[in-house]
Amino acid sequence: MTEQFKIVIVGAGPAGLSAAGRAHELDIAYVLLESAPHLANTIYAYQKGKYVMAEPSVLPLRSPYEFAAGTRESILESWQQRSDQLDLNIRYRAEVTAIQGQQGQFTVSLQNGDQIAAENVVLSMGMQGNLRKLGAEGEDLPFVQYQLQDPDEFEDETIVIVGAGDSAIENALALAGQNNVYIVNRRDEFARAKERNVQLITKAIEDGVIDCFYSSSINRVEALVQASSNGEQGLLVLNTADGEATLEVHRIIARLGAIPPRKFLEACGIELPSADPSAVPAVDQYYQSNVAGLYVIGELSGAPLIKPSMNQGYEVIHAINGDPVAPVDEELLWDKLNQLVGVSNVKQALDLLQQGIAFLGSLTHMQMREFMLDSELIFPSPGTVIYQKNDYSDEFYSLFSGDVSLIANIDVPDQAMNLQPGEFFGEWSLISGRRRAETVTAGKNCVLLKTSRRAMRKLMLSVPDVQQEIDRIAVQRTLQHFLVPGVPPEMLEPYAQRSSIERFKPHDVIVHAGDAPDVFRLIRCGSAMVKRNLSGKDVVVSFLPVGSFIGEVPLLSEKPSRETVLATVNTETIRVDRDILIELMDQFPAVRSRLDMSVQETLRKEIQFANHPEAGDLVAFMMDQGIGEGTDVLMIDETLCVHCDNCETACADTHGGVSRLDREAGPSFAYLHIPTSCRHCEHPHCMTDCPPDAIHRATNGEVYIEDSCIGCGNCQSNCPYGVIQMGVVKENKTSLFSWLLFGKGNAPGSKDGDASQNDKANGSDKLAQESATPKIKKAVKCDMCKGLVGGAACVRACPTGAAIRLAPEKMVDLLRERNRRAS
Amino acid sequence: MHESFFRYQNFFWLKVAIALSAVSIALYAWHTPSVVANGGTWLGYTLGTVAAVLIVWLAWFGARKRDYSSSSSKISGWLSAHVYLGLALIVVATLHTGFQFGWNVHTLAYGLMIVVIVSGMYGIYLYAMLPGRLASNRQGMTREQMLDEIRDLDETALGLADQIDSRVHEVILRSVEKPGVMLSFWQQLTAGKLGKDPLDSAERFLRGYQNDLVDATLFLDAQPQSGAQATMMYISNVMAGMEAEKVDKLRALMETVGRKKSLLKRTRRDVQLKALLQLWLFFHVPVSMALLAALLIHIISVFLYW
Ligand SMILES: Cc1cc2nc3c(=O)[nH]c(=O)nc-3n(C[C@H](O)[C@H](O)[C@H](O)COP(=O)(O)OP(=O)(O)OC[C@H]3O[C@@H](n4cnc5c(N)ncnc54)[C@H](O)[C@@H]3O)c2cc1C
Ligand code: HEM
Ligand code: HEM
Ligand code: SF4
Ligand code: SF4
Ligand code: SF4
Repeated sequence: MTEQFKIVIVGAGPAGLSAAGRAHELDIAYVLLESAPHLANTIYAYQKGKYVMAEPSVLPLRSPYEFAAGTRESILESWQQRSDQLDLNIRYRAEVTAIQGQQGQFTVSLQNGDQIAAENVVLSMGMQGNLRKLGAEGEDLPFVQYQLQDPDEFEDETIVIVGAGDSAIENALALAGQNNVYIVNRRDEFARAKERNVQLITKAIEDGVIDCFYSSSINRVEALVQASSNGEQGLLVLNTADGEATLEVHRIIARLGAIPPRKFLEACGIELPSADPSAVPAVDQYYQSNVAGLYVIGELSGAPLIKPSMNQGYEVIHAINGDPVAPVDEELLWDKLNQLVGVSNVKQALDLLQQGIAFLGSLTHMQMREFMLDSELIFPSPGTVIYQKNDYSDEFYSLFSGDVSLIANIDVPDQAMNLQPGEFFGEWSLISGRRRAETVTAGKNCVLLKTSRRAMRKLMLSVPDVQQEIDRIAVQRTLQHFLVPGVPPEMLEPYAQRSSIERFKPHDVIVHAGDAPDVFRLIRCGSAMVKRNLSGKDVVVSFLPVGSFIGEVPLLSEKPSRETVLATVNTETIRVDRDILIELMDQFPAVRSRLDMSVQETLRKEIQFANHPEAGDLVAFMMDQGIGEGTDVLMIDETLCVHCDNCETACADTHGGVSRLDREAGPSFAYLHIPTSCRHCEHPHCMTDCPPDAIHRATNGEVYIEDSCIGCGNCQSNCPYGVIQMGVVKENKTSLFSWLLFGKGNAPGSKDGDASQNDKANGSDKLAQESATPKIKKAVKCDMCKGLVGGAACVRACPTGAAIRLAPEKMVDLLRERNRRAS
Repeated sequence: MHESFFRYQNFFWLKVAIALSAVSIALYAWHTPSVVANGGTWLGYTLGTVAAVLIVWLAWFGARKRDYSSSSSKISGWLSAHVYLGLALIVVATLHTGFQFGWNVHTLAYGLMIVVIVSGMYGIYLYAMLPGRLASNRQGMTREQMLDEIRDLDETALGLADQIDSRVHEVILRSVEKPGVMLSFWQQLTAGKLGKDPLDSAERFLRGYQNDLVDATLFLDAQPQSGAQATMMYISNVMAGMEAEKVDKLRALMETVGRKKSLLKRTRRDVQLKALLQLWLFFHVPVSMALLAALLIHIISVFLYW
């Protein structure tokens, strides 16, 4: 018997459930097929107790099911309840193996041989059912697994983890405590994972806690005929750099990610846009694939998160039912766009913006919508200052209409530059992470599109065209700013075109000693240090922040470089080859004098360092501690510090009882101590992966965390300097007077413990309030005392003058002072 | 850049203090009262008032120091002023008295003031001398790390001792069980130099034990090698092997104990230095409170009985 439905939905994940629920509400004949014996298998397979996030937070949820951030367990339970309540037509253990036919008459075949007829099919099967396998003989043996739910389940086993991504590393670390763990990495380093994970795994490998096979791949897996004396059941054969290696193992856990079920999709007639194994089917605005009547939603259509997947489930049902709803973000977008003159709907407005702003031209409509969610239109009145030179803000602006003027040097106002509609500005701070290089003032009829740093970086990463276009202009402007101030950047176009951008990782060599003097470089992001070999020892002779030149001395003197230049952090340079630079010098005499100035400065610095070789070691130490990428670093002079901890107490007192600095912790060198406290990096590592985008940078460079933090801990693990903690911050503070005179409240700066006692004594209404909003731990870190008049409390509270906060550009002064003291 | 409170803003407060003292001295020299110079003349009143205001302000430092959200200048500036103006008090207050000292409450206030000032001088002597020493003694470790490492060394030592014999184990255990670092108030200040240290006796014991062992090994090796004693020879070799292993273990143990000893010494030194840096304040502050009380009595009494 074949049943017949208007809609067959394949896969009861968030997307499929939401679709089925909506079909149910609209009384459409549907069935939901799920291969697992329970709902939402992907979420079911999350690690126990995982805190699931509901992102993007600005996006409303449109679904018959509820979904808010919470634990895996609570979410699964609420969905189960809702399904029971709706009496959903769901079939478990119903794995779909094939779909044939066309719109109106599809045949859906199940594993058990059943067939179901369908007018339309919605594929919402995710990708987790198709985990990437080892791709070698034995990949399906019972002791080879592709997921890990509960690391505590295993003890005293020999386990091999295959993979170098975050899940692989996290699993390896979680298992290493009570097992003998190996990790197999195809490459010679861990590059794909989050920085923090890379650090942890590298350390574990160095400490011998985990053994790593680098540059190795799986040859084959075999089952042992007889388990070994320790209970190992399998044999893993690896191809390593030194030939084959074999290991007896209890278990192999491969974490290689998931890919779309290509074979299945192609058998259904769905075309995939590229041969890339991770390519997903292309769908139209109603999620319909190239096969009419066959719809694809959720992760399989490229929506990577739960909430958007659920919204798609709702929308696809309406589309099939013939009454399509506007996408859920329509209203949000309209609120942002309706002030544009002459537009009557979102699509029109977005098209207009795309036509008007050149670098947006290559975006698809969906990308444009996403971009606009993170952007905002502003209509500044003439004369409004958009931002000031030397501010630390980092938004990116595109000029849609009217004009703005940019002044880089306040003293020479006639060098102001006017931008045309369609151009953008603010790219310098976005790229370099440094202060604004110019002051921007709105002109007449100015309409600007303002985009957050995060959205811009995301866009540049995902759309190469955008990156290219922005870099094209940025290179012109950077060359102009540092080499030929005063000429219109367009004039540098031919030179910029022939320059290129190079990217270096920390410790990469930019220039080797002895390299021919034929490349000039300008650091546009990151920093570098210069080493010279003095009597057999590599000595640091200089430190180059953003905006510095590399190679100008060899070029002008026409002698090979005597120094090695190394990137201290992730660094980008603009590379200008010798002949281009010479042409540039010929056309613009100013270039020559700029270079001469830089040569002088470089030589002066080098003499300084050469007289005090020990200062070089100090620089090297400071680079290691992230001063090269910091904008403001707490440093304690150990010859002054009396260990009174007034600095910590001051911080705790002004920051809800949790000190953001740990004075004792952190390294020291030559009586200079760098306590554990935020360095306010140019490109803050903590910002890379904050789901609610709660980490920001204020105009003075302070990197701070907003209340919207959900306590996921990502920033804590991303910070390479360990300065972020998870803590409960209290608001209430008693005044100093009542403490001094009446002993009321907390002693200034008292920490967590004493304060909670105090809460109890504070009367019941307050308690009731607090229990209503459970205290969740949020990320806390130094905010450079952003809100405090007078600045850093720790520095101001230090009685001896031992504690200072220092910007890296002042580092040379610090070294000079120390040199003076030393001599 | 780093700027110690001594040099705060190019010795600004030192200059102010010198100026204040100079003006006081000049006035005192110029002033020729009808009576012998004392606190009752107009200059006496003036200097006394200045001195009293200074004292109250100096004492207020304790409160200011704890008002962390106050935005008025840096505490290192306050301390700089505290130190130099505190020293200037010696001049101002002394001139106020007109050198009329006696056994009365007035001179008590004066005496207390001098005591506070002298203790303050001791304090800044410590502030100047100790931080560098404390840092080099730490060798880049935190106190926590030092204690952790001591615990690790203890464990290693116990493990090794266990493999040697029970007597050694017992001795080591004794040296571990006695709290080695956190000492009494007095011991903190003297870096625990008092009394017998179980670690010293453990070390002495180990040295003796090692000598015995080495002797025994040598003795065994020195056995005559006649054919008749081949069996004996065999046994002695085995024993020598065993003993040699013990000697090795013992050497490792002694090294561990030695490392612990030097680390312990450094930790105690750390405790001592930190204590020195802080404990003087427990004298400075109470005496300054007493001074405030005595000063109050002085002022009230001169108005009542004058
Ligand atoms: C470890 C991990 C953590 C994540 N954390 C978050 C988070 O915190 N927040 C967030 O928003 N997103 C998170 N995601 C992403 C999120 O899980 C997915 O975006 C979401 O599950 C996609 O939903 P879906 O309905 O498209 O697919 P899925 O949730 O994968 O559901 C697909 C369903 O289809 C079933 N199925 C598959 N094949 C067949 C078949 N042939 N026949 C019948 N049924 C089939 C499966 O059993 C499964 O139940 C995370 C993902 C992973 C892997
Ligand atoms: C408002 C502040 C002060 C006032 C009004 C004041 C007033 C006086 C007067 C009137 C005398 C003279 C008493 C006499 O001759 O019998 C005196 C003496 C003296 N004062 Fe003050 N004084 C003040 C502050 C101080 C301070 C700060 C000190 C030091 C801590 C001090 C220490 C002395 C001493 C030691 C004498 C000499 C006592 C003596 O004559 O036997 N006074 N003061
Ligand atoms: C009569 C005069 C003085 C009074 C009443 C006085 C009072 C005080 C008080 C109340 C404190 C605060 C301590 C705390 O709460 O932690 C203090 C600190 C201190 N005083 Fe004085 N003082 C006096 C003179 C001096 C002088 C003359 C010196 C130095 C020569 C000095 C050096 C110091 C130092 C170094 C501190 C510690 C600062 C710190 O570490 O926070 N004082 N004094
Ligand atoms: S601030 Fe840190 S802990 Fe909070 S949400 Fe962002 S990344 Fe997570
Ligand atoms: S600058 Fe402010 S927030 Fe940062 S460590 Fe110092 S006191 Fe704390
Ligand atoms: S407040 Fe100054 S002297 Fe006191 S511990 Fe901090 S840095 Fe050291």
